[in-house]
Amino acid sequence: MKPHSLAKPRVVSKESLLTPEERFAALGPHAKRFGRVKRDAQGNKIPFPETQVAACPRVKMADLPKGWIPARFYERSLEQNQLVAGCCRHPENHDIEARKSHPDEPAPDIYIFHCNECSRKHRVFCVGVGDERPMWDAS
Amino acid sequence: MATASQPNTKLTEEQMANYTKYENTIEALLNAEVDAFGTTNTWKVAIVTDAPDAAADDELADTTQIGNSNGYTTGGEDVQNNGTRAAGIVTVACVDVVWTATGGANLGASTTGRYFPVHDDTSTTDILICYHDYGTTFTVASGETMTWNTGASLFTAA
Repeated sequence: MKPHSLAKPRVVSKESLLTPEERFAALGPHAKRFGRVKRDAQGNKIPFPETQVAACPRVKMADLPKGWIPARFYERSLEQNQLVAGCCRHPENHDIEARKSHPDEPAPDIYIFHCNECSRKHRVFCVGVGDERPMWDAS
Repeated sequence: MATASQPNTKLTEEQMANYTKYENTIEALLNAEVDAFGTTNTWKVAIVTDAPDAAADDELADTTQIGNSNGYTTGGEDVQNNGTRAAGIVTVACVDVVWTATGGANLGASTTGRYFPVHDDTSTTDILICYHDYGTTFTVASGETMTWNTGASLFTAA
């Protein structure tokens, strides 16, 4: 075995070998899709295109099997939330619809609770790894 | 009648389409500017309106947050991050964050919130770590809520 000082180092800049597309792909699917943000002539950022799409139809919470919607979707935001109206604190008062932030999402990541009494909306945006994402059909 | 016809889906990190890491994050981690392990540093999640530039943005000041009003506090909310290690993998778990619009108007007096960047609030310059794209702008009217739900963990590092 040679000591390090006698070894022949081979210096390669991994960064320089990557194309811009490969660099952005390494940052995550969203960066792979959009890459470096574009700017207009004044240097202002140009917004990303809107990508959200519907995933599951609006249905009554009561029509879904008990426990199908994870409790953490509504425990803190509705049931235990003293800042929302009384009608909103009952998940069973709500309709629910599911959406995807982008068509590439393999499962819905946005759930919107619609209060049937006051029509207010309560949104849940799922961003974690390994979280449960329920799906349903209307029939 | 609704039909729940398939089991609830659990996603892996590779499947997360709404997640993006800022390019500077890995440098900040290895340069000991951001602490992802344990609970030493406080991470916060904010709501911003302008498109993140993953290649150029590196601190919270590079973003445009919604207003400091009606239930939103500039700088965002503490996610109570906790990094733990199993074998060679560190998992960063966070609590869910719920914003409730109060005070008679929209959360942050905004109709254009869209992105949720996470930053290290303990670091001197509020270094950005990652962001999530809601896919469209949103308005949280008075009495409505927006929940940033991290599930089992925010991300893993190996």
